[in-house]
Amino acid sequence: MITCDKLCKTYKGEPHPAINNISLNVSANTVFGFLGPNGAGKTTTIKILTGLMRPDSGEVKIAKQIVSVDSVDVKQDVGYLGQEPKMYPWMKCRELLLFVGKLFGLDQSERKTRADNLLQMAGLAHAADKKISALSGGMLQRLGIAQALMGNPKVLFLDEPTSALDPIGRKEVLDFIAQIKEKCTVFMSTHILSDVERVCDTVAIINKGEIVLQENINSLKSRFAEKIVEIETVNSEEQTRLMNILKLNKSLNILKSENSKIIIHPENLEKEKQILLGIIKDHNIDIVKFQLQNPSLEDVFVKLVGGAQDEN
Amino acid sequence: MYFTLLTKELVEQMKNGKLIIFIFVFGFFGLLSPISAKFMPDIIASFTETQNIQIIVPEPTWLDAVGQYIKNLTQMCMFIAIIIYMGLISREKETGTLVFLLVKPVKRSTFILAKFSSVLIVAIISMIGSFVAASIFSYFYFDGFDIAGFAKLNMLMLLYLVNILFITVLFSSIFKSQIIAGILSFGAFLVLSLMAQIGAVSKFIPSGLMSEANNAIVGNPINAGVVISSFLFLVLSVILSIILFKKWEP
Repeated sequence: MITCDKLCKTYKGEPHPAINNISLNVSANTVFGFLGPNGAGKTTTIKILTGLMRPDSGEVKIAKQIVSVDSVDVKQDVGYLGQEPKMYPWMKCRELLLFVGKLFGLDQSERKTRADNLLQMAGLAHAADKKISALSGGMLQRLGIAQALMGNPKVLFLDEPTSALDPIGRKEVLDFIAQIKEKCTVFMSTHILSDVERVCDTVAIINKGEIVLQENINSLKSRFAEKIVEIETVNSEEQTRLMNILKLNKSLNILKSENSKIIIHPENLEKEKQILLGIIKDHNIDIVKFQLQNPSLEDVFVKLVGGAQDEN
Repeated sequence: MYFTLLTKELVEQMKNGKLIIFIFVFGFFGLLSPISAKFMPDIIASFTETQNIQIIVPEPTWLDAVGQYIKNLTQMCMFIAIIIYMGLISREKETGTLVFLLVKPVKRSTFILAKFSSVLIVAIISMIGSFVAASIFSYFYFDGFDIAGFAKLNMLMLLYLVNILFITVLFSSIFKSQIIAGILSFGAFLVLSLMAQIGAVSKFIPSGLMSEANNAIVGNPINAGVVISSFLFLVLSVILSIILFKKWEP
């Protein structure tokens, strides 16, 4: 449904490219998670994919049509919601959807039906005649998705749709995405790993403007299915003490350390488990948990991107 | 698509008060000009009578009212017009609503044309309002008011106003900051006004329309060159705006 080939973009005055040789392939009727830390190039990529920005080189196709800044035909198939939903605050919810319907060339009866259905689907039927300026963050985001769906798009681009929301708003929006994923292809950029884990079928990880991997989320997790070791100490002082000892052992791959937790990705589980238990016993480290567990997407992400981040 | 965008523009300008303010300002100054011309001698007399000073002010004529009208519209009204419209496009860039619109099946050129058209419509309505207000009071207050000549003058003023507005929209389409767009528009307005003092140049720039407006009111023939070049200025502003706006990236 979406293919892009070797996209490159460098902003004026910037020494490094914002994105470099980005190639992606997104299948129809899937939710595609575009994952990366802040500043990795997610928004730049989405702006190029939606025809808001020109790449310096490379090409984008949506439903086999080439995307360009003035490609009206392609945009007929595209819905988009930016990082923060920016819509006309003076319009009312239904008025906005009807306006968007007009832009997509829908006839009057279709506009009305679709607007009412989408307001219903977004849980905004009660606020149909409410001014956009009076909506809460979650409602605004759901209206943003509703307007993006108004043209009955084949592809829906969502740029960090949950990043500005509180937990309730986030849940509302993710539920909404889960509902619509059968109707169109969703391309969702985010840096929130749990969101990807929850709704996405495929994931691509971008870091420093380059694609680190693109893979089905289940195969990705099974590929990184080796158990990880999580050690929780009684307090942060103990955690620091343990960390200082572990750092001396260069063979240990420490994924993450925070508060009183340390997560280790062992190359050889049995051998390293014994080493760790030995260290804890010999140095009399006070722990509350020593657990072997399957890695989450977050652990995979940290493994793939974290190392590169730490070098900066 | 064009009419959808144009309608949205006009409704938006109605709701945010721009359209009403614009029409009110022009109507107000249209009204004010004949009234102030008519009563200025009385006002001056009321100030001076307590101080034992005698100033002889000739009986005002409709030409004084028109002179006042030209002054008000070419100075205060143009300044207000720039302030009101300097954010027409740049404000949409600032707030992000432009991105919302441009990811829809909207051609950038159509968007720009709708913006310019909305401004043109508002300018026409405002000038009609101003013309009607000034004509009614001039007709009742002064003898020999030449409404045909005044109508010609208003058409030239309208052309000048639209030129200033189009320059403002052009800058608004180029810059993200409405303040910068406003400063440059005001700068362009000042430069054009100064250039109008140079006889040879004034024949080819929109600000030259003002001296043609004075010609129109006293029945002298109008220089077609200024009118044609003013229309060319308008076309150029729109074309330039479309070309530059197509290069804009959020």
